[in-house]
Amino acid sequence: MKDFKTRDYVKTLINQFQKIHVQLFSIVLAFVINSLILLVVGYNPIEVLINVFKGALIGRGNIGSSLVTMTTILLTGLAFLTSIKCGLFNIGMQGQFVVGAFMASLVGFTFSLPAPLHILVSLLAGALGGILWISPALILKLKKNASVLLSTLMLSFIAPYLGLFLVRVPFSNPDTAAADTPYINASAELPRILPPSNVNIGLIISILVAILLYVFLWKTEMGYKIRAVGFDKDVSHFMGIDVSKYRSTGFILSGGLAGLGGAVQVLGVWNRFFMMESAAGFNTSPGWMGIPVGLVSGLHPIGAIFSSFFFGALNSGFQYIDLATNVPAPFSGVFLGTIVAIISTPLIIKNIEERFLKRLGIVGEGK
Amino acid sequence: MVLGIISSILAATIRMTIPIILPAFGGLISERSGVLNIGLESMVAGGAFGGALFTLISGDPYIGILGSIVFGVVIAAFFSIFTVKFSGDQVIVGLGFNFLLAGLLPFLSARIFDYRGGSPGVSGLGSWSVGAFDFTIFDPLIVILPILAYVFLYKTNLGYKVRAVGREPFVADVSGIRVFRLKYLCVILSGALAALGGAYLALSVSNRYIMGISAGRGFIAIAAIRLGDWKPRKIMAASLFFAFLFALQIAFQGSWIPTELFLMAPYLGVIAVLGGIVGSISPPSKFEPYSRD
Repeated sequence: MKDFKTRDYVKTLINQFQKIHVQLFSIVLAFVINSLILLVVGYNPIEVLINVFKGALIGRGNIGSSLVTMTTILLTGLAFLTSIKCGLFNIGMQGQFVVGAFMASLVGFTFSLPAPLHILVSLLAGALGGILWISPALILKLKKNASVLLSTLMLSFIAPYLGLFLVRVPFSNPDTAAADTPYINASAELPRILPPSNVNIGLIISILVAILLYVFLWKTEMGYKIRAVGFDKDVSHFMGIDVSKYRSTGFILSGGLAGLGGAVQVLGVWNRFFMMESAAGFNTSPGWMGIPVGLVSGLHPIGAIFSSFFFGALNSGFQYIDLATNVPAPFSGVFLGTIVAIISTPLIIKNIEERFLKRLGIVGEGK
Repeated sequence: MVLGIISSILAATIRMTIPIILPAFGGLISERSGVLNIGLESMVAGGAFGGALFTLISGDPYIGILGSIVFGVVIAAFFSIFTVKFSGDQVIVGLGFNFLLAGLLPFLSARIFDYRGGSPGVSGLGSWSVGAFDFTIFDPLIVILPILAYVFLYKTNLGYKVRAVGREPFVADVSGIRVFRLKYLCVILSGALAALGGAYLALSVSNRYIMGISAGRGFIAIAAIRLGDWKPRKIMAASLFFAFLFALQIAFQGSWIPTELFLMAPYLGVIAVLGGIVGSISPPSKFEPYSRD
């Protein structure tokens, strides 16, 4: 009897665990796979991972840089999960991020307004930039039923060249030789909250946005309808919900959130606009990072707060080992890739788990 | 003068067609078997890296081509394990592979070549000059590939089975076709073709591997398949069109027009095309993982 009870206890634990186990398992599995890759290429994976941990979490500066990355990728991650919730797949957060960042800097350096108002206007300009850059995809979807996957992706490939052009020709800073816009006015800068690092109130803003998004999507009628059309558009249509209206709302919201991410990056950290990665393509820029953040969040805004912290820390850790131990930072892309690939393949995790549980004798052989 | 520009654009268009048409036909085969290969882009990049690496090791670009095929096949094999064996979401797994290779290649490049931005120069493929045109052994593929793909898909038993697997995997399975085996085959074939496109970029266009060398060509190939309505002849035409947009930036290098505008032309082209595709663009296959339960 006693034996039975402990098994029961384990079972309830597993049930509690069930909600986040896919996320956790894929992260663990990604760590295992990446350690193997590091081993093959000739590094000591344990040493590397200890250094990544140090660079992510030990010391004020390192935590600071983790939180700075988290600030932006939380917003782009929210953008990604909103788009999945409404059923239109936006993977072009990078484009919306770039255009949003540029718009925020434009408002930041051209106008002089009192501080809180200037910040608010610049943030709105960033969100508007994101909406501007997602709208072609929406129009093509509504008018021609074109694949938003391809259109948002292509818009992301165009944006870096647009950004380069803007900082090189019409809006280049006359005082520097580098390709960037003039610095924004001090009244538009987001105040720093952990002095030596770049952590700014953008972090609080983005966490607030996450909570608001949760309230909007789960506690309001409109949010409920957006999730409904994303869940099953045919049934929603049958129930009398205007599918294209609510899908569009969610899609535009997604673009706005990614644009807001760009604005927070410019107003809080860069204080001007420039192109971090000049070439089009996948990289670990905040816009692209929204995809893994959104996936690991379990498509839940509150989960995104945790997943964005994880990926922010990962990014900061790899920046650190690049300098400290000469393991190239792009390796964090391998991490992102393995996590994304595994998390979208739940059967792998299920197979491993079942084998593991069978060995423990928790799941019967009959299954 | 005008004639010179026209012939240089024409020559550049032919050169730029190869790295689009190869992944496009790879993608076609894979899509006809029911796997939407969003990972094509990563396979093009991997092929370019493999091509440069093996050429540097052996000194022979033809061994480099074989090396790039190895890279493409390995990446595609992993992709097929995720999408075919374990029924992963084809789009998100594909995106994951793009992240993975975008991180892995600079990492390996830094480890092997001591520079994360690319490899040292490699001895390129030989070419034959005819007037303004330089031909490599890849160029005939522009004509041969569509014919081969047509014959394979529509005139052979195997191609007929591939299309059946894409259209109705369950029915195909019931009638004794080895669904999984054919899907693996098609995905791996698409990886090999995409990698060949990458090898051409590394060995004939830039004569080295550079970070970001694929420049979205894998995705443009997917757009070309869509624009070409999954028909070999039309896909060839679509590839030529996108190649023309890539060729513009070569032809107008150093002119007064900002280069960025030409660099974004191919992607703008895709968006314009998406807006212009008339009629139905519903794919002939079901892009869903197949399982027997």
